[in-house]
Amino acid sequence: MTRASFERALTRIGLRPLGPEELAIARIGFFGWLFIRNLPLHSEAWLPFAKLAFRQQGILAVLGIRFLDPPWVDVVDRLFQLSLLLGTLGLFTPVATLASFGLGLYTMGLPQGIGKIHHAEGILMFALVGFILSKPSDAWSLDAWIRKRRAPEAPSPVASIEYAWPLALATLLLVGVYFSAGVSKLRASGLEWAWNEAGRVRFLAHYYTRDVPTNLGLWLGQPGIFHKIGGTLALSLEVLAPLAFVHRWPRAIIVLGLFGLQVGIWLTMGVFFSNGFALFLMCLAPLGLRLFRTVRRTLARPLAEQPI
Amino acid sequence: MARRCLFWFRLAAIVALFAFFLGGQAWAVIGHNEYWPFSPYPMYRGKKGAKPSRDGSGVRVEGVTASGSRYPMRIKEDLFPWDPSRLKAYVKDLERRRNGKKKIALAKKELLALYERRRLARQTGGPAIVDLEVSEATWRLLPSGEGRETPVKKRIIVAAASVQVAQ
Repeated sequence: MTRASFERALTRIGLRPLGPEELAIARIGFFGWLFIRNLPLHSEAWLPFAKLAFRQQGILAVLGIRFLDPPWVDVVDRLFQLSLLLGTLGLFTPVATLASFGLGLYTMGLPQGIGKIHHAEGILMFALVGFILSKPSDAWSLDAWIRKRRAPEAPSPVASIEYAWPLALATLLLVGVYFSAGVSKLRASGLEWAWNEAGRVRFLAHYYTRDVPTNLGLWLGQPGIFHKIGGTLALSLEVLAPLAFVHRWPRAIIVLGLFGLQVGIWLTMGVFFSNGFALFLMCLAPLGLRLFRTVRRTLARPLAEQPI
Repeated sequence: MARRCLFWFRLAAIVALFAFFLGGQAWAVIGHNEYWPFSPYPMYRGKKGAKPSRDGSGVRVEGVTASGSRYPMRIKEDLFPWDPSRLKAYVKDLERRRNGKKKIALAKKELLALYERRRLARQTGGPAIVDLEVSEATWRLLPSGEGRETPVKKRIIVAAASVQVAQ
């Protein structure tokens, strides 16, 4: 099978070749968000608490990754920040993506052994491997700019399936997480999860016990129909998330819906997905670019050509 | 030739990654196994037929100033990188361990040091404190939202020294 016939076969199952810019904007969104979120150093702060109680989690235990002692703990944090910045700028990108993965396992993975696991970080590791296995710096990067300066006659990169698979992986990760959460709810509580009293009380509990940015949770915590609507929407989105692989329109709706769900959880319950938003940016940024291009093309078309 | 090989190598690796994620997730969800980075994502799943509690509880950290006044800490800002849910789980974890009380007392000292470091670096706007108290507070959950500032019950996990003297 040749590469071209293989790409045609993938197109038939919905994985279309994409331009290098679509992966580039996903790279900027993903690495940029993680860089901003990880600017405050945190590994050293965990150190004394980890000495009192620490459980090595999952794959980190297999790899034997443990907290380093000062000053190396700070050095690793700084290197992680640097690798994320380089990934955002697209400079030494293959090294930066590989380093982000290795250092991310350490800086984002180890705190999961203190107290409890926060679920947003784990899936980011897979997304980082997706970048390593692609060519995210072929456009809108310092690497591409340097390459162009050195060889101005070199052909520009064209649309390829290689630019599409990290984005397909990101969608799969989002779908996998929310579908798993939906299945867990159905197994534990059944369909009644969507409209039972526990859902209403959950909003109230968060209002009382956490710093919530709005009073929307209190509003949803009132007896009535609104918490039931919210619960039904949330459970439906989670269980129907695999529809994202049927066509690009359901994909856009599902990804936007899950993003809205996560923002809603923050506004009503004060639970911020933090690092996990990088994955949403990775999925949504190419959609935004496509929308922007469509609008620009429509506006640039002479009036006579536009349908009445 | 090398480029073509690289394409097929990357493709094989990405297909393996897809399979690894899907297989790991299926194993985590079906067997309810938590094995980082795989997870059944059980948050807020509830329990069939369970009656919702009328009360809600959370960990509360209060700083004690030199004058004896209390400062309720905003955990996310004052004690970064902690957040309320991780701190609550961590304290419960310490309580279950051997020498739990001793470890909690040490953790309190570390929390105090963390807060002071952040305050001196102007990363938080709270007052200077000399001690702190960690407790598990319980609220009566009312649809009106009343009583948010005053929990109905407070179980002191580790008391501030000044409070112990006063008692």
